[in-house]
Amino acid sequence: MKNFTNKTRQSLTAIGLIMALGLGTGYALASPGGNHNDAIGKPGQEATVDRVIEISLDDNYFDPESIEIRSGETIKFILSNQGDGLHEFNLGTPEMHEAHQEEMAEMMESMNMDGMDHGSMMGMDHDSMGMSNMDKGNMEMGGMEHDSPNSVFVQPGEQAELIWTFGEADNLEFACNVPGHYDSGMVGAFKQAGPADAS
Amino acid sequence: MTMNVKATGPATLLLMAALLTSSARAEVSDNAIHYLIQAEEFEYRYGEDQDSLNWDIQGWVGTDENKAWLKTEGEKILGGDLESAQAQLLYSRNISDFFDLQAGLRQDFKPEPERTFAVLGFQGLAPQWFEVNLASFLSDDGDLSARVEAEYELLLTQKLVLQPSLEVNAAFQEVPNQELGSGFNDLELGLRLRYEIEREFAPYAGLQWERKLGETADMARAEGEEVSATALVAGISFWF
Amino acid sequence: MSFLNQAKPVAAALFLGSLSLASLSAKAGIYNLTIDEVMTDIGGELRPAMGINGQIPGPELRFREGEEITLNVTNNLEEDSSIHWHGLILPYQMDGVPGISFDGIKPGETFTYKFTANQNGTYWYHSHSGLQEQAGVYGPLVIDAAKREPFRVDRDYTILLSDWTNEDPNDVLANLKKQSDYYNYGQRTVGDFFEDVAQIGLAETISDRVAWGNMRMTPTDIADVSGYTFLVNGRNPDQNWTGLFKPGERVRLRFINGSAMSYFDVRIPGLEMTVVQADGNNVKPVKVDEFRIAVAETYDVIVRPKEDTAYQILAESIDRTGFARATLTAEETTATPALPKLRERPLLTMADMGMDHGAMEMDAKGETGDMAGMDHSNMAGMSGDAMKSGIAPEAANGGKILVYGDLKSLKAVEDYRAPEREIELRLTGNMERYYWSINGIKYSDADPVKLAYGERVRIKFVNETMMSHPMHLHGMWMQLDTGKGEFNPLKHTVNVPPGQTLTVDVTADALGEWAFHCHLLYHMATGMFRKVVVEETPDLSSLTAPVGE
Repeated sequence: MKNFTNKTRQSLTAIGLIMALGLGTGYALASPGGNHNDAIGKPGQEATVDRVIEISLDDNYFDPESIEIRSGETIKFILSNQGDGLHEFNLGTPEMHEAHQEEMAEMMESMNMDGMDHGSMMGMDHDSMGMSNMDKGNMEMGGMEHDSPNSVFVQPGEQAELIWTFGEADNLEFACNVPGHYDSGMVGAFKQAGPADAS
Repeated sequence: MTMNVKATGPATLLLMAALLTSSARAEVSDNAIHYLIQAEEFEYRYGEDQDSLNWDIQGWVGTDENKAWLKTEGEKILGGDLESAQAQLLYSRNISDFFDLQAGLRQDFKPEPERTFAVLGFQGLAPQWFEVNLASFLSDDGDLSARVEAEYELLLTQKLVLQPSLEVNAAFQEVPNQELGSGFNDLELGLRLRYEIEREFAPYAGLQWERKLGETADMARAEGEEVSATALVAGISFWF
Repeated sequence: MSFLNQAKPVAAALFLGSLSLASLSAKAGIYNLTIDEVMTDIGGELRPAMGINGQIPGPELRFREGEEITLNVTNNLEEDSSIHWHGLILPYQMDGVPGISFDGIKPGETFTYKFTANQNGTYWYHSHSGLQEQAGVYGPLVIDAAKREPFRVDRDYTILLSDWTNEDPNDVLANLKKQSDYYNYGQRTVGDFFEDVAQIGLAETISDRVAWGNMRMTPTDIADVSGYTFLVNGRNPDQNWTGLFKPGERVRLRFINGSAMSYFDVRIPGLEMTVVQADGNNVKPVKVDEFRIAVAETYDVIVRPKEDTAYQILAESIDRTGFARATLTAEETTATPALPKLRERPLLTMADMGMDHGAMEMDAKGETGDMAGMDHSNMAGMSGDAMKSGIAPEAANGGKILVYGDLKSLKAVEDYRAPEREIELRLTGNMERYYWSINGIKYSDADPVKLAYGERVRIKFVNETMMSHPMHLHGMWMQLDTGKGEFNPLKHTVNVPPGQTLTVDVTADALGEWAFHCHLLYHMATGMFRKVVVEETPDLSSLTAPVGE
């Protein structure tokens, strides 16, 4: 049982780190000024949603993989995880994704989490016994959605939402930065079709 | 050699038949028959009193478990007679990971008179990488003798190999017509440095030192012969 | 000289040589292969060899998942031949092992294989007769997925690694039988002795030599055969097989180790590799800097070269005698970098001899990361470091190396359940006499392993030798225990390192007679082989006894 205790502690630490990462990213986005952030847009409000787009997150890809957007447009994304592993829907430039991936990879490495992936951290693995003993409430990543407004983690079989008002950037991607997922192609393109009012 | 073949021919045929009928399933040839003919010593010896040509050649054919071995060694004095020549034909059976039990016949063609021996021995690899051969011989006169041979290989480089060797002969009774006393008869020490141009072909040079021991040495002294001899050797070892 | 290869269209099949395609749309394909005597100078001199459709390797067979396959294989050799479809799940009569699946293909005759491709992924095919595989009778086999794959790539290249010898393979085996260290030019010398004395002291050095001498084994037995020219898709390092990419693209590389005897450590300096498939089965993506590929394994990786430059794919043989090399380049004109220096040849330690089971308990589940950065120069003796493996792989750049513990099936394996019984297979052999066996018994002396149809059995490999053995089961998947439960990956070939224990679970879901063997060609040929019989009602008494005893 010693093993199990260790594993649980690792998992909790992992969640903590993910949240910290989320907070970090969120803070960067929320910080005022900088054309960069203006260009990618900002979190949107339910009341101003122009369109609703459903995206399925599977192992390990998005469907659809390309979405046309217009600057100024507010889109509500309904995200369903159809797969067996944890996935992220993260909205940003390739550089932002790369930085986020490095952070996540470093975190994994620093914890020496042999073979663990986010699925098992979340206690979603059928073989990581005993995780069900834990207070699931504590493990929910819900808080992150608010702390890191451009990113949401979706557990297998669950659904999440993200509302975003797009800026003028034309190199935005939606990506899953769980290690290995972006590299194997779990990324989609936002194609800029021009300003919303032009239509 | 004809005598040898006559004596052991039927045994060889039986052995080969056994080898060929051993179960071999089509898909894996793990009972395939392989062979080796190896001249460990094929050399010119520059002695103090005389020079000679010497050979020590062994070969086997068979499977992992059952083999037929042929061993021959001898000495030809330069400008003189065939001093010694003997051959053994043995059935060899692996009895452990590293050792074979060997049994068969030995024929000494020289020195005369020709003699025939029954052979029982072990050959293999002892701990610490010593190649050893222990053999006992029972002659057609009922004399019992034994021989111990050991070799070691010291790699100076991957291709330059220093090989010390040792051979001791002993008799359990006096054999006057062979000028052999009871007890240890002789000791041979060799040191050969070979360069493996190919694994299969290596010229070498070295030293060979022989000394008669005990009663055998006494008999030699009584005959006015030297009891020890040192020779520089140069030769090639090869196998195929 | 460079051979430029355009990326194969991901979705469409590409057929080479005299391969003919009867019907693509009807999901049925007829393919014709011939096994021929050919000549090749790939190793620097013109030598007789054997090829498929006149080439080495044979043409890439590209099937579509669900396709009904008809393969007419004509043997133009003067000896019996066969083709085995490595990793494919099919009726045993189509598995291509002479003496087990069928009688083999006689000279001048044609055998028609018929089966449905019920899987997708990267596989290969090769002769299962004699030593023909070493002579050139092998080729890549790719089955395109019917459904969307769990990754998206812009280009798709097959990287088939192999080892070519100018010698007749039968001579290679004969040489090993005559002198088992014939090919080992990395043995410890008198000079090494004194170096070790200087490093670890006289007493330690002597006790180390005595320990190995008592076993009559040597720590330098890394590979049985040397003198190889290592190939990528049939090209030697000078010919440098080259694939193109556009910066930023995702490139899928399907690595297949089609060697007879050689393991490789694979890296692409400047690129991280994301492993997405092992032995044709999707795994959770793992980012690595390097991976070791055992003989007969396959790994699919995705790389994303971003620079407008040339990247070398380096597959370094584990005895460090050479590279198989290929290049990914953005521009045909970019010069390929020179080959780097070979790393130092590894030395086995007492840990590799199973002398320290405690430390090796981790086996397949273990993370060997703590071994990374280990200083080989200190490894010679019995001092503290001796309890670390000398053969465990390390990344050249000090980064992440793939270990079995990283492999996790992308999807939960459906038939995951507790095994009903365990079969222990001790991997045994005799390096001096050069024969290899299981439980101390060679194939020709052994009874078949009998499995009851539908049963779930655990196979425990205990490697009692100083060599790694890639164990390959025909016809059924082995679910490698990496501690991931139902996410344990499915493999057709598992590498069992020296001195280690590794377990796999098998569902005996394929009736018939199957081969089960070490995929090192000369180990298989000298006895490290079993027949597995899956039958409805086997003799129960044979099920309780350990196999081979």
